[in-house]
Amino acid sequence: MTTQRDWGSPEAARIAEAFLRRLARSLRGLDAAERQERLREAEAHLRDFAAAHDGPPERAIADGVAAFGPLPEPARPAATGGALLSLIRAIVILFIGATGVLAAMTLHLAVSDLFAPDQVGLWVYASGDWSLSYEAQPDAREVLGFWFAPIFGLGAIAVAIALAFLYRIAASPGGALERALTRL
Amino acid sequence: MAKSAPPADDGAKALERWNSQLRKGVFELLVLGRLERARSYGYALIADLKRDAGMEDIAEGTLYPVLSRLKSDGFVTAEWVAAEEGAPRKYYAITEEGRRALAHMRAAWMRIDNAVQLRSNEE
Repeated sequence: MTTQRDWGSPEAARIAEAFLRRLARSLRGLDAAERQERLREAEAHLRDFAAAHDGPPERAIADGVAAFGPLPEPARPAATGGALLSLIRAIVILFIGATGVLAAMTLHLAVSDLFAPDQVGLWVYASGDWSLSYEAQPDAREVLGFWFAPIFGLGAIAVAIALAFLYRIAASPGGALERALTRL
Repeated sequence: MAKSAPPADDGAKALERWNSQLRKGVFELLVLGRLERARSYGYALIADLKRDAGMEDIAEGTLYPVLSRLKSDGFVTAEWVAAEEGAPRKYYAITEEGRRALAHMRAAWMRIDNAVQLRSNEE
């Protein structure tokens, strides 16, 4: 990110960076590489404008932002794409919510196992049935032992990372799915 | 009922809209024409257009989507060049395809211009 020295004064840096953040939001329909390119070019434009105008840097930057003009409205998916996007987002968010609850319970089991290793575990009965439990089960043996906490802890974290990735591509504003439907 | 003349404000707005549409229509022609003379970068291009093409009040940011479109159409190329002072600049240069497109645009413009001139002379 830019520093205040780059823009000539803290106030100039604040104005410039606020403008670039707004521009980034307005360009969110573009793919990441194109968006970065346009932001870099707008920043170069603002610097050239400031260099060509006398006066305090914050005034020059504010004038440069004004001269740049209104920012484009963020691209929206077309009506059909918009309805499809809403449906997919709803399904994805439901899936993330349900799976997230399971991941949280798994993580809780893993942490509980650290404090009560004799009680918490994956219990297998003589009949072959099994259960995850916070309490030792009669007529059953715990099969993971020391490895229960690492396996369930890391598993929960892996699931959380996968869900965050899924949210980013399929449910977040400006994500890959929205961009793809915008181009339809 | 007799039709009344539109208020002067409406007429001014209509002319403003017409001016805006005209400039939008010729913007790509002007940008390519400027790039035909020499490669250039965003700020210099818009400063030239403001000065030479009567576009003093144009929003400078409107240039960049046009440049992006010209690039994706293959009419210009772009490359970042380190400046002697300050930040790097993205320079645009016209391609052979861009020159052909420019010639086509100019011919179309001349036809319109001829039609306008002819009509004026008749009057």
